[in-house]
Amino acid sequence: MTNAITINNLTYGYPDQDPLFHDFDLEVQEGQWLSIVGHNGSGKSTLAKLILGLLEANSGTISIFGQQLTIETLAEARAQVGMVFQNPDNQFVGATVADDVAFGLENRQVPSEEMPKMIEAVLQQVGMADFADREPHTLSGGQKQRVALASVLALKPKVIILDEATAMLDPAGKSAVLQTLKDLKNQYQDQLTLIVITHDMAEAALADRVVVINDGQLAFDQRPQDLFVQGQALKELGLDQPFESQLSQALPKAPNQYLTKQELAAWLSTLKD
Amino acid sequence: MAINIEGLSFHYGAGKNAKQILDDINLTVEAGQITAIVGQTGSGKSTLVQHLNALLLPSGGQVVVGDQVVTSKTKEKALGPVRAQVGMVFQFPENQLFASTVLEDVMYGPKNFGKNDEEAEALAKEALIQVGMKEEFWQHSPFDLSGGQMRRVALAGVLAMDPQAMVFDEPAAGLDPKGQEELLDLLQELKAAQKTVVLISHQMDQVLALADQVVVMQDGRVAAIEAPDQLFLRDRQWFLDHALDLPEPVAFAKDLEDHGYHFDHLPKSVTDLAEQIKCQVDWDRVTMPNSLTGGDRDE
Ligand SMILES: Nc1ncnc2c1ncn2[C@@H]1O[C@H](COP(=O)(O)OP(=O)(O)OP(=O)(O)O)[C@@H](O)[C@H]1O
Ligand SMILES: Nc1ncnc2c1ncn2[C@@H]1O[C@H](COP(=O)(O)OP(=O)(O)OP(=O)(O)O)[C@@H](O)[C@H]1O
Ligand SMILES: [Mg+2]
Ligand SMILES: [Mg+2]
Repeated sequence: MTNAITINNLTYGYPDQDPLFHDFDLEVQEGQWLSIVGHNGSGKSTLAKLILGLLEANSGTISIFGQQLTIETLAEARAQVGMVFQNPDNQFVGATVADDVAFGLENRQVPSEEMPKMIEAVLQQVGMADFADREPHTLSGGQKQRVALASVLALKPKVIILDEATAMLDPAGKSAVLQTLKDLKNQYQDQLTLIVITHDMAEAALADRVVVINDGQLAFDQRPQDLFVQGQALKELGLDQPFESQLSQALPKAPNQYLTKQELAAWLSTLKD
Repeated sequence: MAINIEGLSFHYGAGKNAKQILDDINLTVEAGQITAIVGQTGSGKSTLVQHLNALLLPSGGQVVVGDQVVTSKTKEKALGPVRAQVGMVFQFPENQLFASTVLEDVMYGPKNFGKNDEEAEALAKEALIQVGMKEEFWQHSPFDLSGGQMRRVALAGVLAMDPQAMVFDEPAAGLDPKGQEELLDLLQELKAAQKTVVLISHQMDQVLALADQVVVMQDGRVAAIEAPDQLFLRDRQWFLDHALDLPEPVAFAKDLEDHGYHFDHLPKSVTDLAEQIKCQVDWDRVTMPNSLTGGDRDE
């Protein structure tokens, strides 16, 4: 299977600082749903910016679908990767919400007569159609996150990176976004690669694979069900288990494996029969 | 120090372009308690709390902070004392960071409210340690930090100022799980020190664990004001209608109630939930199958 992203021997440090990443390797296969978790300041956003070519590696290589990132290939690489930034304010470019979505479409040379329909559809998808004429900076926190997501979804990128993109959504909005991701994944299957940076362990648990970053190092690289049984190790890295794993562990006995909430409830109900 | 909101309304713009955001809000933020404000995206939470320290002035009605009354006509000069008594951590911490180093940023509050350099520095350092910002970052620019680090610095800024009342607008957003746990402890410590705390949050687990009173906002109005133990007894549909959720332990307990379990009180935490489940099962009779689902769950 092809790699959507291949990182080899990456070294990177911010100017005048010790290297954050040192000989760092990571491969993300096309079609994978990957979560990246790690304590504050561990390097998650920096890694995302390196993949997007917003920061330049000191040494080592980053390839997008086999094509090494260089000045020459940057534009092509970016056309395939869409990112929702941790702070949506840093990503708005349009004077209105509609302009903001249109901006990316123009860059992709979408014919102008097709645009209004596409903009309407994607704003509808995130529940922001009524706000098309609003100035992005006057939106509420959760509204900003929805628009930032819409602007990226509109481009239908092959790789979507979400950097804590649901952190300020209300519970309903958060489930809606996660459902949208699942739907997209079903629709595009192996054509869509998802990289989700999050502090929400329930969100991380949706992925096929979870990578834990600790001070620029890969501390874990596992399936969520294998990672989330390791409560103590996660705590030491400033992380935690999802609710269902915490509960399993707090009971006198529980199956020795990761159970979803539904599975755990089903098992507990058998104990009352 | 209590804060009273009386008949508060607020709109942006004027005339026929006016956009009503808050409509006839009446509530009391009790002194020495933790008041949580929850509700749908765009329901007016951030707009509401910006009235608590007079960053926004009411279009109608009034806000009484301690013994000071703020209305649409209050002069800028009179707002200083209000702002000194009510500290605020914004939803987007970037918007409140400004100094050239982390340390200076946190020193600004205490200096601005009368401390000398030495005192301000001591307070700032103490606050930075309290929020887990290591000394290696104190001379960094606050803008060259990770998202969670910026949040911590913004929190430190308000702690160093040490006002009577503190408002936190989604303070957990961007914090790692350990940071979120420490935040819970911090808010409880503030309450123990008799501070008046206002917390906006989408995380119902936090609200249940911390709040004395919960204000539910919907479309610029107050939909409910209740103690969390009351609020979370409402049925699921009500929470769906308000774009909210039940806290995880409560939702799980409700599921188990359909299977013969009984809960004396709303479980406030995972530990509380586990304790209540424990005493309802005869664990000696529970035998563990080797594998419950016959292999990997996604196979
Ligand atoms: N522009 C910058 N200049 C200098 N140092 C920076 C800059 N941005 C981030 N850093 C530092 O690099 C480290 C990694 O930051 P990064 O933003 O990648 O962390 P993160 O894992 O995304 O954290 P968070 O969970 O808080 O968002 C941090 O210690 C941070 O202080
Ligand atoms: N400058 C402005 N002009 C017009 N409308 C505005 C302005 N600022 C905010 N609003 C609108 O006021 C409403 C309330 O916004 P507010 O930021 O108070 O919501 P919130 O409850 O904090 O939401 P969130 O949970 O998303 O942060 C939103 O619909 C928002 O779009
Ligand atoms: Mg980050
Ligand atoms: Mg808000």
